[in-house]
Amino acid sequence: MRDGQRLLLIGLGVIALFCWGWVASAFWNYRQLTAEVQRLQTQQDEFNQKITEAKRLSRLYEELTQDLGKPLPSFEPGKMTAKLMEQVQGALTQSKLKVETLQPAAWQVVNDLRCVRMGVQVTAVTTQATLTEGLQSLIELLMRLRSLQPPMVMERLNLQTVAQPQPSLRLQAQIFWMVPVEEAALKKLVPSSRPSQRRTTVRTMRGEGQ
Amino acid sequence: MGILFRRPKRVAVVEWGDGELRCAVPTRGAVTTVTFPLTAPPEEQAFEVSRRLQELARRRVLSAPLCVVLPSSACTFKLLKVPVTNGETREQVWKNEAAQQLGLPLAEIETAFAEQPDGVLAVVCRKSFLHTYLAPFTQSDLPIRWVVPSIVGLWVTAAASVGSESLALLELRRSRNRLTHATLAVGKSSGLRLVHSIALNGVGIDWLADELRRALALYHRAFGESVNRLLLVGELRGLTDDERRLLQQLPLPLEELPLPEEGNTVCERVLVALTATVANNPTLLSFPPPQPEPELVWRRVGERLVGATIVLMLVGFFVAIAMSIQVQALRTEMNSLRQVIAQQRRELNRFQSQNYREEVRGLEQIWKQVNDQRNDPLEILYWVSKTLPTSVWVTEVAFLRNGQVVLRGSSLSPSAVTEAARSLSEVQVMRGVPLFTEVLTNYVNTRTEGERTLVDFQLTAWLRERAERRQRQVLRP
Repeated sequence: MRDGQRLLLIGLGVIALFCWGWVASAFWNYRQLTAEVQRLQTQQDEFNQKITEAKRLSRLYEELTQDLGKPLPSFEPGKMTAKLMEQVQGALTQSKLKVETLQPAAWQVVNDLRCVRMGVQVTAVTTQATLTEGLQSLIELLMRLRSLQPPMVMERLNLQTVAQPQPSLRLQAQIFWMVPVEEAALKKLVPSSRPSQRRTTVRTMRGEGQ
Repeated sequence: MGILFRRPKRVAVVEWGDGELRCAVPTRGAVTTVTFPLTAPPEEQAFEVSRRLQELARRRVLSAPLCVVLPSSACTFKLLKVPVTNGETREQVWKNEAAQQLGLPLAEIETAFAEQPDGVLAVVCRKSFLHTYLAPFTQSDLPIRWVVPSIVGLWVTAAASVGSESLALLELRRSRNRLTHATLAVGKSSGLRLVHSIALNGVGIDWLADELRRALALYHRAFGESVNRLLLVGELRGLTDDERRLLQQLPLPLEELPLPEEGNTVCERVLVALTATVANNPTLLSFPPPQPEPELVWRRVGERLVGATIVLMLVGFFVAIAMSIQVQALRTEMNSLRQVIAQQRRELNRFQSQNYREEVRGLEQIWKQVNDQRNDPLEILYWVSKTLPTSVWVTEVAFLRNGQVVLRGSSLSPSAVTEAARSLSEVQVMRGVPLFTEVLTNYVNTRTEGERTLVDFQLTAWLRERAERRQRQVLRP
């Protein structure tokens, strides 16, 4: 083998070695990057799922707040009680029912539902000439109460026919209003909230029944 | 059986000299012949032959095992009468005997032997001539398997077609239409006994005729047999006037040696005939094929190493480029993925800061409670007023918590109360689902008011979906 040929061979060998070293380095990088890209794609999928879930919750929240109203940033019992009484009284007046008693019940913080439960006890008598008309006005009243925002929950309803001074229907009802309140405001209310009277009331009524 | 399964062999035959390079190569079941005129001066013709052969090798024309035909005039032939000896040393013994009988220095000659019934035929050629003659082939790295004197190959061809009688074969060589060499081979059957090569260095035809006659007479004296047939390698009609005059002086009539039809000239047809002869007789008398020189071998190794390294380098280079492009693409993809993930993380943080999950959970529970049909007396009032018979009138309706409905009223008969309870229990809403799971008659009391008998009653019904355990006891609201 001639010297020139030997030199050429060595030179080419060095270049070939460099090229294959480059290949090895690129392959190593390729493997690492492939693993990294795979990890990132998995992470992206996870984030996608979380975002989809968060968007679903957000949409649900929007829908619920359209029906129930947005949670109140601060709760003022006096103002809210007055608003409740005003709405109920308005509904009774529109349905032409004569209010005998309209008594607000104690409000209560419900931590599980993040709301304040406000109640009112109503006693009213229909003023229509006939019982049928009175019943119709009662149905209208119930529909009005249902369409309030947030909707009211009727826990107890007692309808009774009354003969004197004219045939009419007497309505006794306990209506509750679930007012959503933000958690921060709710935490402030918890120490100062009054104890629930609901259970006490129920117990008393059961006692009367017995 | 061996003949039946023997595969046809492919042999290429090459010869150069007299200003020409001639080849006969197998191609798809036939033999193709080609003749290249050598235009270079005689001392440079080896280079031209080498160039032509390399060109043919590049085109893979000479890929079959190669038989190089030596001119008969370059060889000396001698039939040796030697005793039977050991197989390992006999070649050396024959070589010594041949050198001694021919008077040639052992170091300068190359020998080839063929065992025959009458003795061993020794063919001797000068090493210098062989080296020069075969140099173009070795430089071209062609696979030489046989180096055969032309008269030997022709004798085997002729002997196969003639039979067991004494035969003489005359080969005439021309250069530019001038007779230059004549070779006479005489023998019997496949045994070649006498070969006389005559160079016509300006001597007359008559002298050549005398030489041939003397050779035939010598054969007759030496072997006690006269030659029966005399065959000419070539065509009788293509002979010159001198050659005709020569043949008329011979003691026997001349016949043509049958040659194949392929080939344009006699020399090409001879090569075609040798192609078949060598393929059918691979153990034909042959000089040992030349071995490549170590220097040349090393040069070839070096060239191949350089080639392999270049291929390795180029492959590595292109693979590296391809891998680098892939890596770059992956980097771009990774950066874009990172950007997308950062954006997603920001969006997710924005959602998580609102804490929708807890808010929605609370609102959903409120909504569930608000939408609980057990808290909606409207539907109850509708169904009660629709279901009760006309003989029953209700004086009091109590709608209690947990889906308990109490009806108090009066009727004209106890059966009407029973009918009312049955009707209530059969009320169906929403695709046949009963409204009440149970309807219970609490009391039915008969009383007389004036002349009329009235029946007071109380019914308790439970709506279908009840979360808590039912209470049998009726509570007055």
